[in-house]
Amino acid sequence: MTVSVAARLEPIDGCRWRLPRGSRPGMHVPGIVYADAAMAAELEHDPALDQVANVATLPGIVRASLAMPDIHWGYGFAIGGVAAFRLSDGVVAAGGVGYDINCGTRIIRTTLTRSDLEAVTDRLADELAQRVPAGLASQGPTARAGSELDAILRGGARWAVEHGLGWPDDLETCEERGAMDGADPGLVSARAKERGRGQLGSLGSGNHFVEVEAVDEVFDDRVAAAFGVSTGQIVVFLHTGSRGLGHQVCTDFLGVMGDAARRSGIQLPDRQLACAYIRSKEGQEYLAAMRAAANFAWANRQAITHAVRGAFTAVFRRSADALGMSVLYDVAHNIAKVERHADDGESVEVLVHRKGATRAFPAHHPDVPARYAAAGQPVLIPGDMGRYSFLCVGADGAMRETFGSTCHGAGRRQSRHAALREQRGVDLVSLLRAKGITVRVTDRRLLGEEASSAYKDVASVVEVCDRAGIARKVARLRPIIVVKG
Amino acid sequence: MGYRTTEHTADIGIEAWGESLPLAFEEAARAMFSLMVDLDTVAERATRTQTVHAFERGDLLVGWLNELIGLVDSEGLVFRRFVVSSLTERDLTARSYGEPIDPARHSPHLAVKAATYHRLALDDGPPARVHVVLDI
Repeated sequence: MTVSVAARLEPIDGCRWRLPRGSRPGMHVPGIVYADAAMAAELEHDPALDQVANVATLPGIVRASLAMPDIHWGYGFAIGGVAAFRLSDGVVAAGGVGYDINCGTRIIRTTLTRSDLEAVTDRLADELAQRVPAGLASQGPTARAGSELDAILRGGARWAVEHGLGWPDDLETCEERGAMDGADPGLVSARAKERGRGQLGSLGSGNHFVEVEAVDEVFDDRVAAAFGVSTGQIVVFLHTGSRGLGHQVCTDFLGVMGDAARRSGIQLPDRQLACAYIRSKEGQEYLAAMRAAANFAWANRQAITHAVRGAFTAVFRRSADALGMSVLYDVAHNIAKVERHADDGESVEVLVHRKGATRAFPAHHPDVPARYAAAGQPVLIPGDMGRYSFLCVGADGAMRETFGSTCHGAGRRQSRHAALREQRGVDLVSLLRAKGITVRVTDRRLLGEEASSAYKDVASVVEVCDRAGIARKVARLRPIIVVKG
Repeated sequence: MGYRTTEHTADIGIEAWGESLPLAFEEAARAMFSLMVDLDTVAERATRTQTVHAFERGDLLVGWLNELIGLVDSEGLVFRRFVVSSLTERDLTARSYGEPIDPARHSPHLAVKAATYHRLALDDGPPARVHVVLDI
């Protein structure tokens, strides 16, 4: 049984709230929730807070169970959850990464501006929808099996670039340069490989998208210049992950970890929190399989990048190079990584789980690409399809407080069912068209489920991160074309 | 026999019921595929058999639904009818009837990533009831 802890949220300041250690039995550390007063009030009856408390009971957790302002009800971990564990006596939880391993975002620049799109918006939308397969069981252009799939699981976006699906420079601006070391394809089950073999270069369904967006406001000229964006510029924003392959790796290891936890006597407050000690065989095997799935996701976003470049080239009759279609950045928001962080003034290696949270390293961090060293790591925050998305930058506060992490999106506030009910009879395609947004979607019902009102306003989510100093706003992006499953 | 969806902010819960637990399991599978496609449009041209072993019956339900989800991605199949022929504490055998996805006919909707253990509940009834949350 979960204990309701919501009433115990204590204000720290205007954007931080504490869930004290005593909120439920067994918490090793407090919970810290980043939220404004309105968000905190909305959280009052949300099971997500119980999940923040549950994570605090896991062995080896460091400092606090954290929740970003886009926190919402997940299973096991809340979505928007961040937690770091000591390597010596801490755990790794498959549910702390989630089913869509390395679900993440990527922005591709262009040298185009809004006016360049006016006459060709529909054609570009059609080209993108045709070249980026989306929807239920969507398949990419080529099936990849056997040793080729294993090479993808090891090489990630690097494999894709080596096989003609991108430019070497694309890798310079990917988290992990598009491939994590320590991936072991041999630990990815046959079922996972069967699910993924046809899916490289496909978007999937749900909240995943390809959007063509325009930069409509710049908040930080210096950083925007470093990132190569300016007002009016057209960019492409991708959001997708490791498809069925990653989902199956999570499913497989939830079973393995459930057994491991039972054997090692870890008391689980929730089956979805199944975990194994990082040092254990199961823990190490999960991490090696997770890295393989993460690499599949990086290869997938790279393959989609290639398709997007093809679509622009077909419409504008200029090469992607001539259109300036370089990768601004690519970042994971469902992942677990060994990183060095300060704990009690001492620098230690910990395993950071980001379950719907984005890495947000500040300027001069060694893992920030050299070209952005003085600015910081780009942080790409998708909003909802009817409003806007944000480009942010990592900040020092993230290193001090959140293990180098910040929010990952708007966060749902309404279930799919409730959203559909509210949007019944509303012609969303026309409504969006009136706002200058062209939509291509394989299933119209999805539009109702993904309507703006189903999400928190991402602007207020980003505002809390900015005020708390765990990321800073750089620019706001408005959608022009939305392609979804 | 029947099913309905339950509210979950990011994902979808399904509640299914029937005269016996195997029938409730079958309804849960129908509920899951009803989120993916219009079941009335699916023909029974392909069959697949699933066998699942687990520590308890709840895990059998989650394991079985995950087997079916795997077949959607790996073989491109969707199903409309399910027969759970054997259900014990630790083993399940079922046969599922459907066909390859045809976007033109099936009006495909949501992809289901996985069946989860979150708020998993089984009740022998009568009527037997199950509740499972699906990751969308």
